[in-house]
Amino acid sequence: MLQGLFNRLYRFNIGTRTAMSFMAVVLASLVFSVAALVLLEYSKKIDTKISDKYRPVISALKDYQTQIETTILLTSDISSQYNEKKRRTLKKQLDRTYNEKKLTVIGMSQETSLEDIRKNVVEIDKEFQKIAALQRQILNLMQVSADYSDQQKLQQAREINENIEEKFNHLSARLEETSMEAIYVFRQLETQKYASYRTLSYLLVIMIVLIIAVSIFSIYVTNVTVIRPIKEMSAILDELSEGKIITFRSEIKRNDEVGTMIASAKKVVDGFKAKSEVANAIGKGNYNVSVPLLSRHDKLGKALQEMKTNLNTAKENEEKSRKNLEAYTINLEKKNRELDQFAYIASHDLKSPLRGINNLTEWIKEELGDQLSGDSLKYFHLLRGRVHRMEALINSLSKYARAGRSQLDQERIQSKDIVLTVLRKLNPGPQVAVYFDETLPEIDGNRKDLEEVFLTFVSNAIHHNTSKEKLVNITYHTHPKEFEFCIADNGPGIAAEFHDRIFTIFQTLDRRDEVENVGAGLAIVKKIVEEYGGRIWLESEPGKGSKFYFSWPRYQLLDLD
Amino acid sequence: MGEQIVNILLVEDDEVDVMNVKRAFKKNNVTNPLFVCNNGLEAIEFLTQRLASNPAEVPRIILLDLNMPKMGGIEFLRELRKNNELKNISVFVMTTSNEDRDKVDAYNLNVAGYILKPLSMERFIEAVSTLNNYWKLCEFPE
Repeated sequence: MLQGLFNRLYRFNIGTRTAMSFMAVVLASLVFSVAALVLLEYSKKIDTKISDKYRPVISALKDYQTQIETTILLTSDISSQYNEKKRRTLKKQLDRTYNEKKLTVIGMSQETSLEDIRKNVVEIDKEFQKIAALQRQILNLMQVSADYSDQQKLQQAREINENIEEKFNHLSARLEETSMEAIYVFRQLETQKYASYRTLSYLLVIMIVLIIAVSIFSIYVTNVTVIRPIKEMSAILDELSEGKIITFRSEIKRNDEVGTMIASAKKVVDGFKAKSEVANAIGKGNYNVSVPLLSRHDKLGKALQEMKTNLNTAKENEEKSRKNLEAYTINLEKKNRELDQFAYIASHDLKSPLRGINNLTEWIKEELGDQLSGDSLKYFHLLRGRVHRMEALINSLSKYARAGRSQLDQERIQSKDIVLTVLRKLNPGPQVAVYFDETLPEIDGNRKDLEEVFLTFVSNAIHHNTSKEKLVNITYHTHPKEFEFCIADNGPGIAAEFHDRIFTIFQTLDRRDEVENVGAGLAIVKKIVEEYGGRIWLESEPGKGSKFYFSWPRYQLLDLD
Repeated sequence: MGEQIVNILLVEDDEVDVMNVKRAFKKNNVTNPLFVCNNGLEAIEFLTQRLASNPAEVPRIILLDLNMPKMGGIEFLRELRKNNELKNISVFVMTTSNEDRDKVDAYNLNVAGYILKPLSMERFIEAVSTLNNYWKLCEFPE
């Protein structure tokens, strides 16, 4: 039932509801005030009635009664001992004062409610008239008796007096009854007055209870309809403020301001949820989702749309550059294959005619035999020297082209073993001392590549060394991601201006026609080291020897087992 | 057990190299009959013809160049090893190619040796002389 009432109440908005409860309180107060006024007026009337009519009636009745009693007493006095003054007083009272008192009572009790009293008084008067007649008789008898000292008359008067007292006793009861009757009527009025006061106090209690009830009900309704939804909303806002994505789950459905607020909150929460889902989808790379806009002022929605567009563009660009990179890689692989082909051609096809030239010159020299002499002989030597140099250049070129290409074929190698192999190959003379760190590390790489690197460094350190006691020292440092090797010698040193040049192919610091040195060794080593992701550099000054450094990545392709 | 006359076939396209071999033979007093073919195809033809007309005089040793027109050395070796009557022939590769791939291919096809053609005459003559001594020691089936 209460639920039904609430449901009916919820149709109105909060403003209307507040006005309604206010109106109820005002109406109740008004009704109470009117009732109170009416009741007060009523009791006032009763009061007036009592003071104006009833109290005088009672006092008049009393006077009347006293009057009767006085006459009785006087009669009794006179009848016992005659007194002229008292006789006159009694006579006056019987003739005048009594009637005055009687008429006062009758006159005052004209009210319907006092009808009984009046009738009683009339009847009492009738009775008293009989007594009064006797009293007059006594007066006459006593006067006669006094005048004539008539004992008989005195006796007669005294007998009548006894009769009167007898009658009066009866009348007295009647009088008492009438007085009681009057007091009863008076009491009835008083009761009526008190009843109206009681009603008034009941009304007051009812009024207070009503106002308290309306207040409690209003508070309860406010609590149910306003505070509870606000708490619910604040819980939702709390969750939102913590960044949670929530489903709107309030079941409050109403038409009032709270209902509007909840609807707005639902819009916010649902919009937020929809946005977060879209953002999630975008985050996962789904750029096909459409971003719902809550209105044309939806800045977050617009930002998401923009983000989506930008991400999509970025993705497309990335795709493009990836394709470009792929194409570039393919192109690079093609170029490398071409370089391989070139190396092959260089080493084979170019050398073939060169060898022919070499053979033919040799045969010519043999055929001519002694006929060759002087300059011609020298030219032949120079010719053959150039041919050999050409072969050396071609060999170096093909080696350079292929340098580092075998890095995919890696294994774990003791670099100390490599150094030992290199020293065995070089077989340096007694004037050369090669020192190396006994703890040279284990590294990953292709054995041939590593041999080439160490061989070139050590051989350069020995062959370009002009000291009498040639010293070569191989050391290393361990860095987090790479090893750093150093091959130091006590050779002539290299001026800073040549430090870059020595790593360029066919750049040599010696004369060009020295066959042994075509100037490709360091270029090949540099290419190998860089192919493996290392670096190569040197520290050197003329007269202070050279320190060649190269770094080699640690455990590049193989895992530690 | 007298010295057998072993026919030698040289498969080589470069004229100077052919002359080179001939001169080296002469210098080392290698008197074995030397036949020359300019490419693999020619050599296959020559060998099958020989097999048909005069099986006894089929060359037992072949000196093979790798880079040749029409049919290269490796291809020629493959064809040779497929043929039941020719697969026993000893083949020495004499080439300028220092490619690992060529070496592996050649040895997989059962060659007796892989000689890099040196630039200078002297070293080539040395190589031929060593070869000569080697095949003098070898026994061949009748």
